[in-house]
Amino acid sequence: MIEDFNNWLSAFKAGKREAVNVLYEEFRPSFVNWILQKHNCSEEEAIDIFQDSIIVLYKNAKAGKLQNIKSQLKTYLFGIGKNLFLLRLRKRKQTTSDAPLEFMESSEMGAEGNLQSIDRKKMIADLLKQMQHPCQRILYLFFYRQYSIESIQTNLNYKSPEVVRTQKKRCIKALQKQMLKEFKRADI
Amino acid sequence: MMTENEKIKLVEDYVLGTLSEKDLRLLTQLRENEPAIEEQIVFYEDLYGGAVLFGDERFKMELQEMEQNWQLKQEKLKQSSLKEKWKSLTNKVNGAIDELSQFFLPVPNYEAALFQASRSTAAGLIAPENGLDAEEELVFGFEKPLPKKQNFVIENNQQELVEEQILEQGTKQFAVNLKDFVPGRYYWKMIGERETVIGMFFVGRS
Repeated sequence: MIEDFNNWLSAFKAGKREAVNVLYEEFRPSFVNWILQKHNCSEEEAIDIFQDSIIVLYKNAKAGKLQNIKSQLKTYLFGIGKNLFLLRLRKRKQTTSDAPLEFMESSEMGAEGNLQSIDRKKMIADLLKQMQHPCQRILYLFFYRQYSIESIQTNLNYKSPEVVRTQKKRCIKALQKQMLKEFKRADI
Repeated sequence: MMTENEKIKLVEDYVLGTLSEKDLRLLTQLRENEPAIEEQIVFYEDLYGGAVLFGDERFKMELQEMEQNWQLKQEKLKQSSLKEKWKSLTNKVNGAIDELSQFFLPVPNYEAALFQASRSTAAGLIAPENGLDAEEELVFGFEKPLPKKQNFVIENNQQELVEEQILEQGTKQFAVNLKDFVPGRYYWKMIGERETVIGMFFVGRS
């Protein structure tokens, strides 16, 4: 149960597992039941939407959008869920009806560059998956969790922020090198 | 003149969306003066985008793990609630069995009397035999008709009187209706002028 909202929020923003777990256990039953009752989907899909809603909630928390919602956290989370469900529904309709046409139109409108950018990001995500510790952890904490250099130092037990900076720089260089190799191979 | 590290810091803050107004102006100037910085921005945007994809996937796996734990917890709760129910039911049943068994306990004085009593002295009693599991009625029979009238009583194992009747002279057979008898151990007594004969039977033991 979330007792102290502000404490919980700062832990949640830091990506602390306990904070996520408290949220998960508190809202999982009502959220999934609500989706199942309100919309026509399987339990598996309802759980998937719940999990995706938490990810969106996390991003919104990071962006400072949760500061003043306190008592309406449930409404806020359920609102995200509703939007995600509608988005899925829309996507499903597109893929079953006029999707090929829309895809062609957007390509013609010059979305190729954008597609390449998506491919590059996917490739980088794959490279990150293959990276070893500490590079994977440092880049994950810095770019995804948006930890400060000082927080990474404390978290990963480094001697000084400078050591973290140097290590991060090395990791990015290694990734960049690997990335260029992959881009060349994939002709992106 | 900015160092390379400072430039990278600007780009990183830009893609992370944490750039201040002042630094944003600085970056805009830099983009105008050093077109090469664009390449860095594209790279860091890709890196950030890739990290978000990677992070989302990782976060999702963490949430899936939480789901598994949640389901395990629910299963355990369900099991323990079933166990609790079973335990409480067993306690109730055991309590009921204990309570019921009270009605089957022997009365030591009467039990001793059973052994002392001899059927031959009980006016040639031929039925029922001691310890019989009776159901709806208990039938008594004599070899010869009773020479005198006798009192007949039945007590439960709490020595409470549950049946009483007078057996008339000449009675050779009679039956006692047991339909209203609760399960338990019962003692019948045939009280004559000279002696009392005691016998025992069960109701609802099987």
